[in-house]
Amino acid sequence: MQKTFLEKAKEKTIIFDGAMGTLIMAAGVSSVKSPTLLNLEKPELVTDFHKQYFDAGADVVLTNTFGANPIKLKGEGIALQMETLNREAVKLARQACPGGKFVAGDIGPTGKMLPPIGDCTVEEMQEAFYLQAKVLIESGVDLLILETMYSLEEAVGAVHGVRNAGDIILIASMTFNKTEMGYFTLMGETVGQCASTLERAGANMMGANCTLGSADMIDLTKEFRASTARPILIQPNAGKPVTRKGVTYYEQRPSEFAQDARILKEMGADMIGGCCGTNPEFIRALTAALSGNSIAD
Amino acid sequence: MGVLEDIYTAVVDGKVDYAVSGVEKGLHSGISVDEILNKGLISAMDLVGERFGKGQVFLPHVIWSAKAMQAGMECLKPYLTGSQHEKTAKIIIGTAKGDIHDIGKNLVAMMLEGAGFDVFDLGVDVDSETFVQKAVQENADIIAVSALLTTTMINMADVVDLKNQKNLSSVKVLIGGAPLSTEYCEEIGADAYGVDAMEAVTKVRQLLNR
Repeated sequence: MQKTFLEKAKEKTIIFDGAMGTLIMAAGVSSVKSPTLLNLEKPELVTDFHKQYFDAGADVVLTNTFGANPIKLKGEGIALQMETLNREAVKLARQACPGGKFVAGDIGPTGKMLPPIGDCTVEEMQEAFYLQAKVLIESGVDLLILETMYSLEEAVGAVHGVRNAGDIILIASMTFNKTEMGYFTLMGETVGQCASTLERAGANMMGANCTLGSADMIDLTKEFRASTARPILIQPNAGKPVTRKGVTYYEQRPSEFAQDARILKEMGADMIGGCCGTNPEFIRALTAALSGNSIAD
Repeated sequence: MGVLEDIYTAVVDGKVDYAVSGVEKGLHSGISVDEILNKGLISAMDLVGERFGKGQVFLPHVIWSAKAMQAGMECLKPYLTGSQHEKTAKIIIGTAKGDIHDIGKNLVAMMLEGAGFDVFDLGVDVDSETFVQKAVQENADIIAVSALLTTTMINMADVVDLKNQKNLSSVKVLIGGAPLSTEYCEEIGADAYGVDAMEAVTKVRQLLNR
């Protein structure tokens, strides 16, 4: 019998995929209205991206549904397609998924702000997360991941929404800024606060992704490890972005990323993947580094 | 100094009610509108902005301070003389055509209002004609355009071009958003680039030369 995600997570450092948006942009199809629409317009491309990540060594890929929650889709005028977009996304990831590997349903933030900054209520957000999670679960994902959350209050609403939708493994991943005073979310929440609050809300695993490069994630991982006994997922960007002629580039080499990933593992990361700027080369280098092979340049 | 200090503290602490009662008390006790505005409200917001830039306070705090500042400004409005009104620069703000991401734009709008400017928010997905038309209509000093995507930031160039076509040399264009840079700002001929909401305020002041 094939191992469940939890069983596998106990055995080894789980490897997640790298960026989806980076590959979409590299393929020159970023001009479509919403990257989510590629699930319908260019399904073979999405499946190919997933396949590239599995081939590179990823144990888990994320569905192309980061922006597929009802609130975000409403802003793009395609709210009616919410169910189809999420369902197709799971199908495409499933097509690429070999036996013994996993598909995680990806859920991003609503893009709205709670009072006093914005006027979207936490109840509205929770309902939106519930609706998206329900479709993802029904479509057959192995687990769900809430990622790039910049507000702990919204993230808690998301955890509750998912919990109303069904019993499934849930990872909740926040995005942190590094300041002179330490690591904080946009709203000023600390790593410890996020870890304990999300755990209490009902997340099975917690994590950090985006904003920071692999080197800046090292101390954060240490802090995270000290805050929870649950498995943690770290997904750094490919270093710090540089801008030339108005275009943003991530210039870190996959080997540098992989070297930092070894340290992340030592610091207590149970699962590692990549965020903005990472591609299958990064995941290949990461896979090699974590299996103890020397890192090729 | 007591009342001015109260106003200042109310804004720094983000207490809306205290800011209002402070401004009212200040007006009753004959403190000049200028002093209340500059020493009470604006300088307090500057401190909050500075602390935000250093990561000492966070977004929700800044928002409450901006709300306190705005509430104080509302009380002052009936007392502002013509010349003081003129001093308040007008800013047209919105996201670039095709871009619906408005978190950054909303922050910048709030910080600009907090700094005492008149802000007209055109919302999201604003085309260049609308930006320029509104700027003419409102006799605005600045058009501020925000974009999150590399695919929409190119539409900022249209705003600059259209503005130049109409010979609106007194209207300046400020741009901002995650994929932008000073180089891009120069490339499209915009007048200034703000790396974050705080710098947007600084750049507006520089553009207005005050």
